[in-house]
Amino acid sequence: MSTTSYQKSPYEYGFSSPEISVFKTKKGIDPDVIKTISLLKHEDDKMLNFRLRAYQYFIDQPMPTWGPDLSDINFDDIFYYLKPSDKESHKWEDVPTYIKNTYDKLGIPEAEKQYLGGVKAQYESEVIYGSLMKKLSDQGVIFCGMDEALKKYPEIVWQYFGKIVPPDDNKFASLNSAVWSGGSFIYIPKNVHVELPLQTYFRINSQKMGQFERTLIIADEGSFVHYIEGCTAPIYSTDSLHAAVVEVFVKKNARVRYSTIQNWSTNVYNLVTKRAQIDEDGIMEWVDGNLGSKITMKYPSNILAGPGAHAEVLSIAVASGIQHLDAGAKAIHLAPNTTSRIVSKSISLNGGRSSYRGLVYISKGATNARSKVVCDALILDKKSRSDTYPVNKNSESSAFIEHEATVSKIGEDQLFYLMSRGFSQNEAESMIVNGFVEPIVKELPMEYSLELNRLINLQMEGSVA
Amino acid sequence: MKYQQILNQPHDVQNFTKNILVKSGETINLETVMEFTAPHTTSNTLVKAVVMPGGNLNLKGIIKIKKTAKESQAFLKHAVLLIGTDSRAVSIPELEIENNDVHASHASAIGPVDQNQLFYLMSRGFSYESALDLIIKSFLE
Repeated sequence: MSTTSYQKSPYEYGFSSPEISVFKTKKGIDPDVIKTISLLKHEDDKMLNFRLRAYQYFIDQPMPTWGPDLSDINFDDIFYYLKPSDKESHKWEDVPTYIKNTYDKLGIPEAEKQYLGGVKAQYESEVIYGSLMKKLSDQGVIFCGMDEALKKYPEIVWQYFGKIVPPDDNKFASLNSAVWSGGSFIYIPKNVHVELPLQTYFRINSQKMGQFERTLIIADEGSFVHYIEGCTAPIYSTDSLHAAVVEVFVKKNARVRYSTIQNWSTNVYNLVTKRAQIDEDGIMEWVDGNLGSKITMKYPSNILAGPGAHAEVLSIAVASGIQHLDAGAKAIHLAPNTTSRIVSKSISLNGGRSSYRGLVYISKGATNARSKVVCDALILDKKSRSDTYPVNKNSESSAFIEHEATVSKIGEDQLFYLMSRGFSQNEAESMIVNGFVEPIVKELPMEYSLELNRLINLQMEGSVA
Repeated sequence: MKYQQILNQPHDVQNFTKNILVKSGETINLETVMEFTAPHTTSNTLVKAVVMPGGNLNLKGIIKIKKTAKESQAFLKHAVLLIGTDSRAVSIPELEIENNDVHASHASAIGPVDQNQLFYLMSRGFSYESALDLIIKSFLE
């Protein structure tokens, strides 16, 4: 059988707009930069002190010694804050034209037209455009930029901010806590079901730019929300850094679904701390698609704190070329009858490397807890690599952990069957790969699953040698 | 305890099977490393363990398949039964695969004694202790 060589298709979102910033901090990070950011945002001393404390933790902590190689990150060569426009706009018409052009290419107004719940877009460091259907505001739903939330609802923000990802959690969470800017704040009142997904787009447009958004979601008792974020960036020769922190609070009987389509260009370090705390009978679901970035380290974590809580993580990683995607999930069971399910699918091609890294911990007292982890990996060619690094700890003898992982190539019999039916090798391979990720893709809203399928096909486009 | 095997001869077959009983108050560590460097090699690792109350078990099982080991097959399984209320087990099965023309998989399970089996045996007249004893013995058989 002939061998196939894959070619990475051109990165579709690799356009850039001229960088016109109202303000930009100097390169590098020190207490003065942090004070400047805080001053520009008109923050009170409480947040400034929080930032400065986090900065100290950032300095004190060593770089992670495990996982992908991060030694190329130069913290002194990064701009930590860029202010692209004077203030947050609520009408699409008010957004400056050059930013609008960028978003037009990304198709955000289209998303709006299709009556999706609300759109927030973060361009560089600031949320510049956000709208929310009136119906949602009437229900008491709060969906706004993190900076706005801090000013309008400080008592809610401070009750939750930094509580599950404390500023000393890890080096990149500390960095984010010190220089954070933008991100989304969502509060869903008791028993409110938000039927349409809330969306955010993040985009980096400048070289050597760091993006440090901070997202906080609070789903009060019995509520439901689906939050979607998408990420893109233009291709530059120098690297950019994206270090986000996401905190989700799922109260009693509430359900939160958090979907990410991460498609950064392949010069972005994507180092993200995502964590959820799930109370009694709450449900947390993460749908995590990782297609872009140079290096990704992302492990959505679930702290199952209340009895009967359930967590579900569905994750896809497609690593091609120089990409090293180190993704996974954590489930920490602290209460009886908690359940978790982690399904990870990874595809490595054209020299890419994808890893699953995960933790399941069942503490003593979490009686009858159950956890199941399934990791499937496809390696499409000889140059690529796949790893699995799970840790399963069980300290409760009535609880059950199951884990299974397989690594293989595309089955030749499957390929042969499809080709005997008249498909070309490329078409057949794309179909098999799309079938492989289907269980996860079908969990996304239709326009996103189409997008994801299309992105995977684009990455797979190749020629028969 | 550490067990390491390098499969560096083509068509090499290496299997490793271990049954462990971790007694009360005991801590047992076992690490297995199967490294594949030659093509057409096969390896199966099976570790079964029963952890008695107050026992601690740490299992690590690594499968490494190098670029040179095409058409190799690797499997690893950790099966652990936790008995009583104070038993603990950690299972870390790892895969590092650098060749696409292989089949590698692992499975790991840590859990309690099947209550149905226990119920069945007790309904046939066994006491709780002897039923448990029988299940443990047959599991490690």
